[in-house]
This record gives sequence, structure tokens and C-alpha cells, in this order.
Amino acid sequence: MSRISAVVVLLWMLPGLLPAQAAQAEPPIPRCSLPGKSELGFAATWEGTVFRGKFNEFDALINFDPADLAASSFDVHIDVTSGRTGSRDRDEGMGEPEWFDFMAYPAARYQATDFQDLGDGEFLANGRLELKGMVHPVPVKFSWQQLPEKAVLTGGASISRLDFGIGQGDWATDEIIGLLVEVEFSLELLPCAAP
Amino acid sequence: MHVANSGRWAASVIGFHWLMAILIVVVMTLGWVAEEYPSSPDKVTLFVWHKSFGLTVLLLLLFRLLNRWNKGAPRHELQSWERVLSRGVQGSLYLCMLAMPLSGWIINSAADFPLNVFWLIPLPPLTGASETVAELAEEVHVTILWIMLSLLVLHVAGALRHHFIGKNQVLRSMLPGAKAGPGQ
Repeated sequence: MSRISAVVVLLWMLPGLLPAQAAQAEPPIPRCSLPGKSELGFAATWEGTVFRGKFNEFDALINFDPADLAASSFDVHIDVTSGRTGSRDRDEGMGEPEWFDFMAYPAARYQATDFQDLGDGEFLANGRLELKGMVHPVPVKFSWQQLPEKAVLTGGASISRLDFGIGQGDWATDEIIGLLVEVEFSLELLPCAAP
Repeated sequence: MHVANSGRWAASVIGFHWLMAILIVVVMTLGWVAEEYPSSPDKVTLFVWHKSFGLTVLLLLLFRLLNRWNKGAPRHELQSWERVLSRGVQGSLYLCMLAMPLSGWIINSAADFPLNVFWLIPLPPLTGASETVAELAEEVHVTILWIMLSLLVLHVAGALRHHFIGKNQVLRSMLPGAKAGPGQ
């Protein structure tokens, strides 16, 4: 006991001596997205023309350390009903059963524990998206910026909407609305406030 | 301005009148059906037809007014109140033919939908995306629709009144292929 304490004290007293080992011993700080300064959006096509939308309500819990991917994890809860595209007609359609079905599936969740370093400051999260009651792997490419006062996570993913039953029946083709949807996000993260 | 001396409208004026009359009925029908249609790709397609024919009306209107100005109008013996009323209704109809496609174009622009006339000619938005503007333009579009339908009722009633009560050449002078009456 006293020997371990002595080692810990020694490490604390000499932070410059063994920085890598000290970092590995500490799990990544849990960080939470700042609501006003974080964006989760998507780009889809309508008759070949891009339109954009965003989810106004979501919470991201990010444990990320570029030097310790094994201990890193993402857990993002999304209020699907907060989705807006700047068009009332389109937004009303979003909630319909053949689209997101707000009544039955108001929430989506993205979770990742498997990360890859792609080099050049880019990383890949091999996570899973639960949307409209279905779970599929969705790889998310992102970059991580550690600033003195906050961390910034930006990235995106490409999703085939039919994997999640988004746009069913007559909509299950690319006739009007394209099948591929690009998700984009930019999150400002601060250490989570104590619960 | 050249004034036609015969009792009939110029053939081109008659052509524009009936072509656009048919188009306007088609546009209104498409708009109504598309609005009532359940959300589906077919609904979107119906709206593309509605917008395409509506913008065709806008384009034709420009040529029609130039042609109308150029060809002049036939002379009819009318009371001054008849002349004032019919001119008022006709002028208002022209304004509606201008305001309907423009307000529709604004709805489409503000609602942030692409505009691709007959899937061939992309047109730029007239305004930026704004739900407030879209809703306002929609109200204007529907209000003008009712005004236009009322004017059309007056227009048709006036033509029929000329024909059956006034027993004059006014209606006949706009019918395609019809001969002007004797002495005209």
C-alpha cells in the first residue's frame, strides 16, 4: 500500500518524467456536448438538389483520448423529433410512419467503443446507430481538436436511409429523395458537469 | 396602336386566349389535386406539373400582352358601364395571371424546394429559405386563387350576357373559327 502510494506521489511530483505512462493510467475525461455550440446536421437530396436539415436536441457523452483509443467511447442520444429542414411541408412529413415515425421512435442513439487512428489527425469510430428500432453499424470519420478550454469533435458519416426503414412504401426509391444521407456534426465539448 | 377594324379579335389574340384558358384550368386542377393528394412521390410529381404549367402561363402572358398591344381590339357597341366593367375584369385577370405564378414561385423558393420546369429548366429561387415568407406567400397564392375564380365567373357571365341578352358579337368575336355577324 505505502509502496504504491509512494509511486503515485512520485509520478505526481515528476509529471515531466513519465508523461506517457501517466496519461495511460488515467481514463479519458468524460466530456459532454455544449447544446448551443454543437451541431448535428444532415444533407440529403430532393430531385437531385441538396437540402440540409439538423437535429436541435441531442446529448453527446464523449470519452476520447487520441493516445488511448482502447479506453475511448461515444454515446450520443438524439431526439429525432427535433429534426428540422427549413420547410414546414418537409418537416411534417418527417414524423410520418413511413419516415422517422416520431410517435413510435422519438429517439436515436449512437454508441462506439471501437476506434481506429487513420493518421493525419483523423479517426474512425466503428460504432452502431440505433434508429427507428433498427441497429446497424455506422462508421463515423472524425477529427479531434484539443484546445486549452475545450475539445472540438467534427466529422460525419454516410448513411443509406433504407437500412433504417426511413422512407418506406412509394418513398423507398431514389425517385424524389436520394437514398444516401450525409450526416455532419461539429461538437464543442466540456468536461461533464457532475450529476 | 393598330386597331382591328373587323368585328373579330386577331387570330393570334384568340389563340392566346383559348390556349391560356385551357392551361389555367389545367394548372388550377393540378394544384388542387396535388394539394389534396397524400404525401408520396406522385404528389411531388403532380406539383412539378402544376409549377411547370403555371410558369408556362407566366411566360405566355408576356407574349400575349405584347401581342394584344400590337393587334388592338375589335370595336363593339357597348354602354360605357359595360366597357368599364369588362375592362376592369379583364385587366384584373391579367394581374392574377401575373401574381399567381410569381407567388407560387416565392412559395417554392421560401420553402427551399428546387424548381425544375418540366424537369428540364432549373430556375433560381426568388427568396431565401424562410418559413414565414413561405406561409405568407401561400396565403397570398390561395387568396388570389379565389379572386381569380370570382373574376372568371364574372368574365364568363359577361360573355354569355353579351351573347344571349345583348345579342351582340362580343362572345362570337373571341370564338375560334366563328364568322363575324353581317355588317361587321
